[in-house]
Amino acid sequence: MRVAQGFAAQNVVAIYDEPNTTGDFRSFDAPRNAPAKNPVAHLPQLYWHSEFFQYELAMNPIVTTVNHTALAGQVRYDGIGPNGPFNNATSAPTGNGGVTTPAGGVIYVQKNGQVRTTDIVLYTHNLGYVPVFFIASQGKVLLPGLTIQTLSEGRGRLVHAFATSSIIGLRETATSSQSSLPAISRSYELLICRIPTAQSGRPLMGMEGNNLVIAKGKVDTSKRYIRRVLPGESSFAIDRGRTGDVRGGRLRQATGGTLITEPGYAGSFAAPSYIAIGV
Amino acid sequence: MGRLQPKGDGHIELLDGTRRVWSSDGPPINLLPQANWLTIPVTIAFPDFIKRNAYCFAPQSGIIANTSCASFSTIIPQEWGPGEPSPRTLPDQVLGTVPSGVNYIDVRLTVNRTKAPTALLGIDVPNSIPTQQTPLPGGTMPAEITTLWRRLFEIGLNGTQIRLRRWQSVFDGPTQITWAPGNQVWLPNGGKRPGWTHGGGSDSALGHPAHMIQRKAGGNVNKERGGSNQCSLSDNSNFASTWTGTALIRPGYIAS
Repeated sequence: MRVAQGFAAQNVVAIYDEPNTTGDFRSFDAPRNAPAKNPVAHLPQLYWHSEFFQYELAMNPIVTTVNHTALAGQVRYDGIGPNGPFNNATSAPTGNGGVTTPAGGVIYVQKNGQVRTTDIVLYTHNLGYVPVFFIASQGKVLLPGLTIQTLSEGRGRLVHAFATSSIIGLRETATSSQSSLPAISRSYELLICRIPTAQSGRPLMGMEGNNLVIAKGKVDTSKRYIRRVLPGESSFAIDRGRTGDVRGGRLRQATGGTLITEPGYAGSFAAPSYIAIGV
Repeated sequence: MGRLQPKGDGHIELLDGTRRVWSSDGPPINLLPQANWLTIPVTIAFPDFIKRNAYCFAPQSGIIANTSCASFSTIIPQEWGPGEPSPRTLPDQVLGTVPSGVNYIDVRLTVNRTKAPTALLGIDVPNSIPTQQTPLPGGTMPAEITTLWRRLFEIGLNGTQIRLRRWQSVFDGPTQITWAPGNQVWLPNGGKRPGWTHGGGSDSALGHPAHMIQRKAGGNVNKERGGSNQCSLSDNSNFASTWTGTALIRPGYIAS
């Protein structure tokens, strides 16, 4: 039987499926209430427990759009010739030299493209502590190092999210080749959370005005919590397995059942399962 | 008005007016009590690649002393990971354990790159991982991206173990170099053949130039591969990368 139980003497509230019907349902020590008494040992029966923590939104979701700037294509040459060594020459050295038929005493290698890392501020929260957070983009949780742009010749752009006590940011790594990496624009939805703690003076379970408060403020119906969604509710996907692979020197990632594959990836990695969550 | 009530279908819901805060059929993500949280030192190390060499000899027409040479460390196409054969095996590392039944971990990583690879053809390899606290939803993170290689790691659950896995992979497309016919240093008439040769292994023709070992021009003769004044073939590159720091791991449970 699925129950919501409170045990005032133990300061415990829990929602769970009773594993059996043994004992008095009012007794904290009854075997039927084992998920309330020892929650970590009964995870499959539990939906919520006052000793647990949830992701509570610290503020309403924030949507921000980033214009990721272009990165120019580039070709440079390193080598040596009768006039001595040269580095990062912007044009192919003369003298019939080169990669394929070195002559005239000229030898060089060609270096294609450039790589740029940029830290981008998504939002200044000024909470004074490093919050837990999620970023959703295009209906999926933003994977660490998610490839948001991929083109031929190894060109691409990936982003890693980070947090400090004042900002949520992205570290962008952009790579061009002989050809440029074009600019793109992308929107991000930030879910900035706190992990609520029990507060003395608040009820184990009771009303504060119009709000139902449980577990001394760990749950407050005026707040929003990251949770599984029901059909019809807006959501984003959170993956339940490995989300990336490399093969042939190129990357494949998967999120929300969608594969993002660099040209030249040589493997067969399949997307993991995922669940839909929201607030 | 907030309330906790049966839904009528056997489930229990927590409401704020008509807004569902959560319910037993749409439960919150639960993180275990703080006593179960782990702050774990982590070292994420990627080894140097298997390397070969490339060598180029270039005479200047009519001036026998004005020859040039250049030698390079090359990286051949290669795959490294937990399931690859030795010596390309990257063994799994167990970082810790969680209670039975845990099916979710919240991982927050704070690391610095403490060993950067040798610059790739003179271009510093960027550190893609922020030095600030970064989350790992899904657990898998690309660590390093260059024109030649990709490095990737994962911190995830394997039963009750928290496991670190690593992979690295080198581009398997064509090298930019056209090798001398037959990889021969000498012409059929006994002269020194201008051009590129490869060495260091039977697969060295696949090598991508990654690091210039030495280059020389003018002033002396016999700079061909194997000559008395050849450019050095002693590899002085090291493309290994290492990140060190901590992982804050909060075990959790998502009810189905």
